[in-house]
Amino acid sequence: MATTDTQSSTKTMKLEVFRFLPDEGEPPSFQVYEVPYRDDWVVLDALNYIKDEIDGTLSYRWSCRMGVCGSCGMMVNGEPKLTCSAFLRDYYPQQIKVEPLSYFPVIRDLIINMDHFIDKMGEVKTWLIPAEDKPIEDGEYLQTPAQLAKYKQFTMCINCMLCYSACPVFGQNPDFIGPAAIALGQRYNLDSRDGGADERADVLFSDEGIWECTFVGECSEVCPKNVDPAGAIQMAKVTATNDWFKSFLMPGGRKKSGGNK
Amino acid sequence: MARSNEPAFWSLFSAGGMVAAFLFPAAIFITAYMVPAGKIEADNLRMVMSHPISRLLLVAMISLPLFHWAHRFRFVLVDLGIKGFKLPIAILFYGTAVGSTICAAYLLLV
Amino acid sequence: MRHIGEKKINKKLPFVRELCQNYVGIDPVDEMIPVRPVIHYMMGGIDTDIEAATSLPGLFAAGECACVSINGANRLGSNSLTELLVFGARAAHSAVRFAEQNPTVDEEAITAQAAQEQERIREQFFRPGKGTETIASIRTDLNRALEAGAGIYRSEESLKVACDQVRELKERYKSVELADHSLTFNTELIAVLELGSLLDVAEAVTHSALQRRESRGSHQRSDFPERDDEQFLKHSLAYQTDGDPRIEYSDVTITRWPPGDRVYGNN
Repeated sequence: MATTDTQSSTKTMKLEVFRFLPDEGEPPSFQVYEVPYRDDWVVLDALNYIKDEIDGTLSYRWSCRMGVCGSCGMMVNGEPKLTCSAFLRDYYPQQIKVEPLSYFPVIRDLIINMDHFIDKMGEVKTWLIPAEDKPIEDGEYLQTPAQLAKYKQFTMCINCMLCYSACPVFGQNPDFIGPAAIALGQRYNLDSRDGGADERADVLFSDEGIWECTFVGECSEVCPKNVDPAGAIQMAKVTATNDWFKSFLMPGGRKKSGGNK
Repeated sequence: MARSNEPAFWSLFSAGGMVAAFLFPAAIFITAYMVPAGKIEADNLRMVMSHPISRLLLVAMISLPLFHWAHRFRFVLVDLGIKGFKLPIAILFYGTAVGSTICAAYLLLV
Repeated sequence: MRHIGEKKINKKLPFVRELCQNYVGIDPVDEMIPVRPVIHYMMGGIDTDIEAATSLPGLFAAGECACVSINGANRLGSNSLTELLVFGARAAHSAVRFAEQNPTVDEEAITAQAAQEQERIREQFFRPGKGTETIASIRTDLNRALEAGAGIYRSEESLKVACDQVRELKERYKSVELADHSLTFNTELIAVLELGSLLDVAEAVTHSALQRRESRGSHQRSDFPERDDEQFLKHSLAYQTDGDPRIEYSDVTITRWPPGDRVYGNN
């Protein structure tokens, strides 16, 4: 147990932090650190203090410190949070437990392996597949504010993966495409410049895609950017159902997915 | 991965949920209060309900919510961690809904 | 922002309001926001040409770390995003072209170079018990030295002090020992390597500023408040030596906008 020298007049707080170094055969454990308490500090400040002043071996991801990069997601007292936005004052004077994001393999300490998530985004093709091939000389793709409003909310995703750690379905089935990847797929399906809905449908509208979701809704609860992935998924279910019925009613069998623009 | 046929079950699930949400409260209000309290004559109600359209409505009110239950309960079992038996479970639950629909249709329409 | 009103603030500046409330406990709708200058962006950087190529063959740079010098003496707001999109793409294309023109690599030389670097790191940072310095203390002292000596307004005096302090910090850096000797996601090692780079950049910044005896854009000298196009309408280039960096100059390419006075529209 490492503690820091603090003056008796300074307020302090304790963090119980998950430690694990699998590559060197050390089993998982918890270490308690005492840090100064400041009412404008967040959990990330406390972790940085620990790394700077107490224990340089503590490893974690972080970057922007202001809730826009999505790097510092961790479990704080069992809830997935961005540690740069979790204020110590909301927990003081209780001890805080910090663990790596649930349902992901742990590389080390608070760092998880996110390869699977990156792969899912590749499968869903979370990038613009232009509806028309327009050479640069012909100018920009134009879009009205009303067209932007249709998908803007889903652009706010910062890939922090808190939604995956909150999703009990993903917890049981790591093959589930998951809230963020589906919301991002919808972001492009609803973008008036995009024409890739049909390409994405085989993955998005599969059993591991939207249909694995049982609308628990925890993903939208924990999302720090109010993306509402649960809403995106339900929207996609309606689109998929419409397409499915159309494929029987329309002559010529399976038709291209409309993408709900 | 291929596009799923889940929309078939999901549409029934959604329809069942809507039927339950919109029609059950009124139905309960009528049968559990209005009739026993004498606000509606039981005979009048029986006459209305014997009309073919009413019977069709009743079949829908019985059948669709059962499909809603079947779909929901199937996923409840998955959430509880019961992973195997996906096909037998689906057949059992949806089968029950289908069977009940047939029974209801027979009793009410034939 | 009190004159703007709650409705407009919520519509156009909701993030600002949130930040104020969460981090400073102030609601900008009816309270004033405390303001102070901070470091926001790195101007200047790795010298590149218009195709993002550096002077090292095969090394390309783009964005905040690079200096094509399309921004002159002061990078204006929002131009950084455009610059990075354009030159990021150019750097990628340049790299692809370079790879196509150089299809074979000397694997042995690269492996040897990597082994050498790993040995250097092990020697310098993983020796048990020899270190007396911490990353945090050097980093904090570096922050203070540059903020005081090479801040918004600098002078010969303040810059000389900063140069000396950086030299001293580079000496102290040699005595840093890491607690983390693991080879799995060692973020402490990354931090100490980045600290070394910070010190090199600080050296380049302070010495270039000391020698630029004029004011231009974001470089404001209290002892030389005027712009001197005759002597200093040039780019400063800093080269690392065994001692202080060597500062050389290159000509500026002016295509459309000659240097002018910054009057913020009041003319």
